[in-house]
Amino acid sequence: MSVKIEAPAVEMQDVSFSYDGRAVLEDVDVYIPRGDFTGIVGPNGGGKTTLLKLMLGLLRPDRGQVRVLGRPPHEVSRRIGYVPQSFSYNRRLPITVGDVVMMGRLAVDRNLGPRTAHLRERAREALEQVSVSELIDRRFGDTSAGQQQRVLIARALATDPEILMLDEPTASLDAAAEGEIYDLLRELNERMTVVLITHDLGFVSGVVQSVLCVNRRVRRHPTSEMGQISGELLEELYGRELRLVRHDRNGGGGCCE
Amino acid sequence: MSDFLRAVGEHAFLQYALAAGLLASVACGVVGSWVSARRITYIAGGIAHSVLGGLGAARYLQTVMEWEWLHPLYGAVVAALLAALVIGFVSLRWRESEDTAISAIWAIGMAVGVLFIARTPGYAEDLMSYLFGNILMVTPGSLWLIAALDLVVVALGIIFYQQLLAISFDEEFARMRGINVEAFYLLLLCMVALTVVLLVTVVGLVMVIALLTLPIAIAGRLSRSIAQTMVLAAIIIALLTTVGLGVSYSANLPAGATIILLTGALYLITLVGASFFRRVGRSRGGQASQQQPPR
Repeated sequence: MSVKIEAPAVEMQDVSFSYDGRAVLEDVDVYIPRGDFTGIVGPNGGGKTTLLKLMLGLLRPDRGQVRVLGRPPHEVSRRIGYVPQSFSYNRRLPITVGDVVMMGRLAVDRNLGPRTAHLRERAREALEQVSVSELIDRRFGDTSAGQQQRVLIARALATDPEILMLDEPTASLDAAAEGEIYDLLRELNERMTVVLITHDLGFVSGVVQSVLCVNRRVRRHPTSEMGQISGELLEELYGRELRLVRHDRNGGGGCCE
Repeated sequence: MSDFLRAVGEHAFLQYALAAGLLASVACGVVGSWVSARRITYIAGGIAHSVLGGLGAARYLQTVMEWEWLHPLYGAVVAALLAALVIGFVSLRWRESEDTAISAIWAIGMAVGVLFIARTPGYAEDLMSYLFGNILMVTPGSLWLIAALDLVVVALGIIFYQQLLAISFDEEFARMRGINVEAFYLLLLCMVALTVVLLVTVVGLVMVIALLTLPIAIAGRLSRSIAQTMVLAAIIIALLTTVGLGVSYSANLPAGATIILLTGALYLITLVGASFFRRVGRSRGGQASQQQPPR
């Protein structure tokens, strides 16, 4: 890596967004440096997904400026790997796991006409990273929720992203599968910036480097400051921390330093 | 059936009919797969019915205004594309008004057609053949048009396979990959429009929707990818139109309705068969999945 000054992964200045006249986010300032592992937490309906979609360029702010990798997000969306929350798709659509992952190569590789062997190889590589390459020819709709989540992560990885953004990737998983996904994300964080919405505060304290608390307004806490957050949150953290330890095989840091 | 095969050898009109059926099968298999993937069956229905406006207007201009060159199928192409674009724009701009737009296009198109046909002297029987198809009336001229449309939609459906798959599966992700989701949606609707015109010649505009959906549903059950669905559906439709033509010729029945009834029967059989196999599979598959450790 050269020493030249790089634009931060994400920078939002004075951003507001409303939906049908209802303010969802107000006066939001966000700074996420490259290589960071950011957790986004907050109550349901507090604007977590909206915040992420603003970063992804899928929504445009009413006011303020969003910069991702120093550019407007819709210009760099191909450099972002996006893992949506378990989303509704046409379950009768015949599509294999390999087909889904190959979508990650759209607008990168040749993508007119039928798929090539090269594309399939790329899909297999991405699936290997999330250790489900044996599913490549399985029908996507026939796989379990946990497998689908891995496939969607593989699809995001197939884009060779500089930033990985995930919306509650473990929402439909059991504790064991959840732990595996978190281990994987920690590993990926060595290569790329990771931004993740989660409801699991225990995980937040254990793995991420900074936390964005989103409830119409956004506050950023490096995890080293977590001790200063209200006792109520800490209690919540503590309660979840026990659960985290159980499936956290790497040991890793505790809640606070 | 052997009578039918002998007759095909003797009569050019049966050869044209057979060719039209086979050509339409390919387009129907390819585009029908996308219709089902993108869940736009209702839009396809709306476009199909609005085609009557174009058919009627072209027929009127051809006979009353003496525009000899204006084959009704040209009118159908224009009406279908117009309907597709209007519905497409409304659905992209005001998603909640999509249903209203489809219904409006559906009925207004038909009303325009009925008025034009009423004002056209001596061609009342046209109405019936547009509505319910008359594959035996296919002329070499319309066969060329059918072949050209076929080539266009099949080529588009294959060239943009990955883009169409992406917008059908996950529009948001497709957008992030730099795909112009709106443009491909409109392109897909235009492909549907052209396919509808092809099928109108075979089964008539009222019954288009059955051929565009039922064989795809049958094929989709047996496929792991859209590509497989396309090939399988095209084969099924080719068989249905050919057998349907044979049956209707032997029994002196309207070809379009015969083809549709065969299609419906085949769909019903596969539906019953699938639920039977699923029941058998569940008692077996249930145990297998219990033994598998969760990942």
